[in-house]
Amino acid sequence: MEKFSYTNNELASRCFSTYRFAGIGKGMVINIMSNEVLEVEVNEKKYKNVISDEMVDYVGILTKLELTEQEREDAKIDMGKMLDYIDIMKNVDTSDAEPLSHIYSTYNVLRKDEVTNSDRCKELIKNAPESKENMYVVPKTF
Amino acid sequence: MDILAYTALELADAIKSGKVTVEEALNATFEQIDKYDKDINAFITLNKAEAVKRAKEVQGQIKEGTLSGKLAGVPIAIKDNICTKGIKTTCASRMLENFVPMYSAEIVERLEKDGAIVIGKTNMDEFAFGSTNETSYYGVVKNPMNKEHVPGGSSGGSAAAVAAREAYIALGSDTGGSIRQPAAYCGLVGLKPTYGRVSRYGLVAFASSLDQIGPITKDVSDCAAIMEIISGHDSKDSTSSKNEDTEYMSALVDDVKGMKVGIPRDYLNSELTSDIKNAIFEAAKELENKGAIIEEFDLGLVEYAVPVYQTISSAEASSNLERYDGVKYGYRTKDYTGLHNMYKKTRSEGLGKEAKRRIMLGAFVLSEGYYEDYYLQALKVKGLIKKAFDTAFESYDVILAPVAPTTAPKLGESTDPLKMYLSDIYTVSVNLAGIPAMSIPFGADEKGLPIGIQLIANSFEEKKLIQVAYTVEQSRKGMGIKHDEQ
Repeated sequence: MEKFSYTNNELASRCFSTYRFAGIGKGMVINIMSNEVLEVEVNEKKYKNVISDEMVDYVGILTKLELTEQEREDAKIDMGKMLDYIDIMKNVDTSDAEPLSHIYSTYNVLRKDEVTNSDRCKELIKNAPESKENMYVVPKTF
Repeated sequence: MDILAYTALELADAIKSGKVTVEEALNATFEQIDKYDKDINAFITLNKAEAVKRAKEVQGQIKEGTLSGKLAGVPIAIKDNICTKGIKTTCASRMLENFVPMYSAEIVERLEKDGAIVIGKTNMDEFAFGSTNETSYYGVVKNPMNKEHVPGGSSGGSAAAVAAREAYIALGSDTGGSIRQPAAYCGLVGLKPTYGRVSRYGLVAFASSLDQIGPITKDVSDCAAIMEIISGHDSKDSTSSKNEDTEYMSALVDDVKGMKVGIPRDYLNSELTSDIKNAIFEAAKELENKGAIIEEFDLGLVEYAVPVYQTISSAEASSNLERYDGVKYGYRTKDYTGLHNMYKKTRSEGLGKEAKRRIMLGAFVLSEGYYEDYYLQALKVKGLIKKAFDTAFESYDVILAPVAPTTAPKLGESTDPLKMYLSDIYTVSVNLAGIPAMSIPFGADEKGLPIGIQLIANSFEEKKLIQVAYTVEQSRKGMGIKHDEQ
């Protein structure tokens, strides 16, 4: 049996790609998909990306989410795992590549600046959590 | 013939010829839903009163001869992230539990104009984040083919509804495989059109550069019919294409002579279960018997598809979901101390775990200091993935590939998010490249769970997909999976 080496997350990510030799370690692993038992070598170091408390706070501010203690701990682990996994993108040589944002050659899709909608204020305000006449009621914004 | 066993086109024909009435079909459908949907949970909202009213109208118009739509009178289910005027549209989230749109999506208007009857909104993964329909605020959906298993996601409700004969045809949305994979898991036909082929006006956005609405149907002919109705330019969607090649029913031809079909070698590795691998090769053999030329080739960059997709889709999702703030519509938290507290509590209480996970990852990869290494890099690799497909289509008319590495997993077993994301490996690169792809049923595994195979074509070449799919379907007539009453 061939010997392979991974961090825990790399092993998961290698599930659907050709196995690659990457380092040294020791252990037995079950291929998650085929139930095949493999002799592999697994690094002790678990996550390359360690997410700090400050980082979770920062992301919380960006996303306007309030996380419980447990959610913060889960987020640190989840994000760390995901970042370890998407890190493999760095292996691609993109020195000659242009970022592809929109599939088709983009050009501005414009229209005449004419009002074509009717006034649907009454219908729209029906969905408001809190409203007064035709106005949305919200907490003070200043 | 059992009225629920008709395909959508067969039903439409039977209605036009007077063999059955619209009301009969509608009543049979709602009876089926009453019987089975408490268990299957494919629907979040039913539109019974309006549907019955509409059925009377449509029946009258057909009798008068003023309505001759392809699917006139056919009961259709719509995924709950597509806006329907006057019908609650929740995206399976607490955040929109009380949201009633005051307009209908463009494709809903086109279908209603054709005479199809919207019977309800189907369950899905919350905001389309998921591959098993287990993240919905309204509970999990069961696979009608084996109720211990998932129907797939995120259009799980749509697929389950058609498979359980609770609708003749359903619409879903596909950002990373969310039409094709549930169609495969439930033994149905699912099509993700070319990006820009179908208007996204009224589709609640997940990843605006990847989303497309598409059909989940009982057979390829139904798929071609509904595609003719929903495809085409819409001035209200600035990403909608002006391409006018939409006569898909003309592609329902049982012939593939001279067509070149490529099978990516790098998709056929040891992780793919042998049942599915055999299905691919059997399909290839059947196409070869009908005159196609089959070849294996190296697609390339296969292991980067999922990381690129997760980066880009999470980034776009985090941006698209910023609008859910409790201000103008949707859920708003009860007690708050000021504006920012209201935002945070509303979003934290209204959004589910998977939604939060994606939003956080997305915000992270877009943030200063990480943008170049993650988001920009992902966009560059996406360009290379598109190029890989461009190269492939210089040699092949269609690509034959698996839809998923396994058949439908058991409910409750997909607890590792990373493993779940990896199961999208064969579907995500299609969305990244903006090209069309179709999943068609091809037998079942030893447990009786349906297997789907995927056909991929170049941009705006859905006709090639339909032709090849129809040919495969015709060669297997009588061998299909029976979607009988459970």
